[in-house]
Amino acid sequence: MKVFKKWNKSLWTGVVFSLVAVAYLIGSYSIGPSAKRFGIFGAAFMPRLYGAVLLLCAVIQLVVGIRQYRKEKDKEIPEPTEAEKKEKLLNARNVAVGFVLIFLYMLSMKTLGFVISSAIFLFCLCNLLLPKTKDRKKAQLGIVLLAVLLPTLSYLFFKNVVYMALPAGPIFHGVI
Amino acid sequence: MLESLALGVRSVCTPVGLLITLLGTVVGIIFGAVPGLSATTAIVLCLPLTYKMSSINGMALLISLFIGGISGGLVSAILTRIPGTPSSVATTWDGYPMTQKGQGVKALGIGICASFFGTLFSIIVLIFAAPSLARVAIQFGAYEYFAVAVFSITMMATLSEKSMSKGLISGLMGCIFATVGMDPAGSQKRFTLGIRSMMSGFNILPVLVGLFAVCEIITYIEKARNAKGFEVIDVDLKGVKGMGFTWKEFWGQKWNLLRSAVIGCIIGILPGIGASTSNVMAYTVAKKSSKHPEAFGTGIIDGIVASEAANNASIGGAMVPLLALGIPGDSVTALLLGGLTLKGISAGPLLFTEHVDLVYSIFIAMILASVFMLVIEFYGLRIFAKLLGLPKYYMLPAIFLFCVIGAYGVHNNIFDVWTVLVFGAVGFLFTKLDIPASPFILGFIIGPLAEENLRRGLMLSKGSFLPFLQSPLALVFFGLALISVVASTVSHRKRIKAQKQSNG
Amino acid sequence: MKKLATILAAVLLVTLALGSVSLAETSWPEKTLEIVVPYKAGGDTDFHTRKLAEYLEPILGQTIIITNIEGASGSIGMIDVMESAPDGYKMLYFHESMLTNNVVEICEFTHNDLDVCAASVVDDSYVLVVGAQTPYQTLDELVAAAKENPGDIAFAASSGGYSYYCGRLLEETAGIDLNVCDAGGTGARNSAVLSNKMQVTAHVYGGLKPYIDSGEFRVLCALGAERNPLFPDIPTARELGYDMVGGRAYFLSFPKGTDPEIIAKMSAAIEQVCQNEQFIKETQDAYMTTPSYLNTEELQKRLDDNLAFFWAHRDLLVEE
Repeated sequence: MKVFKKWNKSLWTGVVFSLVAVAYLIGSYSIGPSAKRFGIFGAAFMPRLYGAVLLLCAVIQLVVGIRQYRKEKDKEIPEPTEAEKKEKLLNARNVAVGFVLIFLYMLSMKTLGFVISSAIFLFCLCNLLLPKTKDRKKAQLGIVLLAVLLPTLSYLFFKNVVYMALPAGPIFHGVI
Repeated sequence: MLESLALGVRSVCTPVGLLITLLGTVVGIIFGAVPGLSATTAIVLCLPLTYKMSSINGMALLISLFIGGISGGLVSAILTRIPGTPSSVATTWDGYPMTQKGQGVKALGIGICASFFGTLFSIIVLIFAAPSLARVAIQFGAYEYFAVAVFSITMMATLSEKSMSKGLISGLMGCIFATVGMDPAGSQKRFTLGIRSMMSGFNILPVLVGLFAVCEIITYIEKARNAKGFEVIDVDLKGVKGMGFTWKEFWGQKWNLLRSAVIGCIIGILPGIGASTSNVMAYTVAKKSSKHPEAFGTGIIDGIVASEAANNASIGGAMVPLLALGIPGDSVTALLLGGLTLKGISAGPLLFTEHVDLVYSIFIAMILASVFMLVIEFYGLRIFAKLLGLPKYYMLPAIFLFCVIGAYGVHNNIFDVWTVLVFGAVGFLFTKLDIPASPFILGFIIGPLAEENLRRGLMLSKGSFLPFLQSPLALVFFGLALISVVASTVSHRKRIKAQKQSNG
Repeated sequence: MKKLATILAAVLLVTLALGSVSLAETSWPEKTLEIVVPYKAGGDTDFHTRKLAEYLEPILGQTIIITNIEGASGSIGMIDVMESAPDGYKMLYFHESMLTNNVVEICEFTHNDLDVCAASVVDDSYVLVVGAQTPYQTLDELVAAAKENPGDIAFAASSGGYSYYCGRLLEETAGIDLNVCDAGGTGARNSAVLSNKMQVTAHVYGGLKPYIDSGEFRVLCALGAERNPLFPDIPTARELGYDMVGGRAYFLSFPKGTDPEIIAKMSAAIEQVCQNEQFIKETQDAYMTTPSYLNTEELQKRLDDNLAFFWAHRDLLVEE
């Protein structure tokens, strides 16, 4: 694990996108055959071109990254303090929570309906974004107001004024 | 000509007509300003409303939505770094840095004026030269479009100064994601993973929303806990007179304005490419022709002027082939064409003679909408600024909600909402690795343009590359591409030399 | 004898019972209806749907809302309706691309996965045109030129679309070799012929009317079975000796398992609309095509026949 910490951005870029390029190129072989008259310029031509150039760029980044790594290998990186480490972990956790939140939100939109899923989502997201210095309890009222009002008003506006029906969900089906 | 214009004025300037144009502009600006909603969304939603209206009022509504929508994108682009519409991507490059420097109002002000100029310029071109320009536009076939695509690629590849390979990686990823779906010239499925919704590929709006908005929110989450109390989007209104910039500054931009408007117009006229491409092209050209290219990206008005003048000029440009030949210039004008057909009006070469009143009403409505846009945005400047003065932990979730609505509204399909998440993750990855996100969008647009025209051209020429080089229009663009590559290499070398000299 | 009488009586009773059931009026519709259009607003399918809905509302006594769900050449909207509850309140309005989608393998479902109701428009106003800059004055001249220079004359089509089918149909029927190329969407195809980059194309008359009227397109023939009364001067391909007929039916469908009474009631309502003079006129004005009603059985037969035809002639739809 410790080895990864010393990897610089170029190195990461190189590795990640080399893998992506290879996966993409392999995937391009699953594309069906094109009409004979296209010759080599069939449906798979451009994907392979993109994949090849991407691989090239990723390798360049890899080289740049390795060079930089060698230069900085023996440089002393100051150990982060306990407090700093804790902060970093909390922030990383928050990011993960953020992604999971968005994922769950989208998953639940069809079943719970737009209004309910959005209300829950907004509530959670606002709380996630609340700076730690702010008074948590006091801010809840404002957050709840936003979380409930905004989706409801938007739903009504979009449904009745411009006839765009957002997912209704069990409660609103046939009611509004 | 004057009589026709007078006729147009009489037809549009009824109380109802004026109200519709005003409302359309306002709604358009709102849709444009909110990331996730765009001019196209507004028009798709309001198209059914026009069925019950007269054709003149209906077109006035749609065109004012168009103008307001494209212009509105600059608001969120400048204040939040999230482009309101794909046509304001380039505005974020200098707009947001200006906001960070506390010059947000100035950026907004000059962006609005540039938008106004661009729209007016293209309307004048439209009124006076539409038929002849349209004839030139249809000379652009597969060979010529391929050349334009190649030119665009070379221009934009030279944009990313810091690390060319990183910029290329970003652009290529854009091209790669754009290959998902049905292949453009045949009927093969590519990378669809057996999911039916993937067959149409990814739609640019959810991609944009995910890449910019979601990414912005996730990156903010990372530092949210340490944000100082009320972190807001800081817009300093104190001591700002009028639009926030001086006449001298504006006059200094005159060549930039004119050049960008011309670029926007030309790109708009070519069916198939429009405001989403022209804003970046104009920015790139402005940067390369500038005496201080390094300043671009740090927050100077040149970038905003170029981007906004061009994207609004593309509106008038897109109307040229529509009104002169009945050929839509982009997705919005395709909807307008549908609106006309529904009224039993067949848009084509005879539109100018058979429906003079309608055509000139459209011109007048466009002029009116531009003026309304200028006035509304001018007075709205302070309101926008205040609105964004709300704390970020309210603003960002609210923005995200609208992004989701906008994404869903594209096709009424949940798949587009998932697209937002996927590209949010991609955007986050890019930010972590210091890869610029903007070349991605360009690759996403230009990649398919290049591919479908290359393959269509080869279909027509039966496999030969010769016709590509025999078309004079195509040669012009290939030539420009070559010049662009050579010029950048030379200036790159010069810069390295200068750096060595200053270091040594 | 007694047994026969009992059986007869039983049969009579059952028939009467069944008859009275079908005579009873279903109370559908009792609330708002929804029609899904699998294309975006502003197109021809969208137009025909909205026109139909406009005239259906007073007959059915309920509001009808139109939802556009586009994607995958119409199959996304189609599947959305397929997966909806068959309660009679959500319908699909689509055309025969439903069949071609299946044949070119964009969609594994066909009309048999839905309960088709009725067709309101059968658009047979397809015409074959050449650019005015080309030297071909008649269909025969075009065919002769194509025989002399096989593969040189370019036909502007959209891959997998009806225009492509028309081009290939022409090739097959006349025994010629054209260069059927993908030119993009309708606008791009028209541009190509206007600028003489490609020479021939086919589309509905309404879509080409602006250029026919201005003299930039020359119509060679119509692809209907008989002359179209809206443009009676144009001969059909059949008259000229080429046996090719094109036409697309636009029809309404319900999810599978819908109550047959609802389907019958809707079908009758559509028949009424198609006889409405105003409806006929408005459709003709916009798309140069006359509404024609096909009831459920006729529609089912047409779709079955066409699906079989397309499968048998797959090479007319997609390049191998």
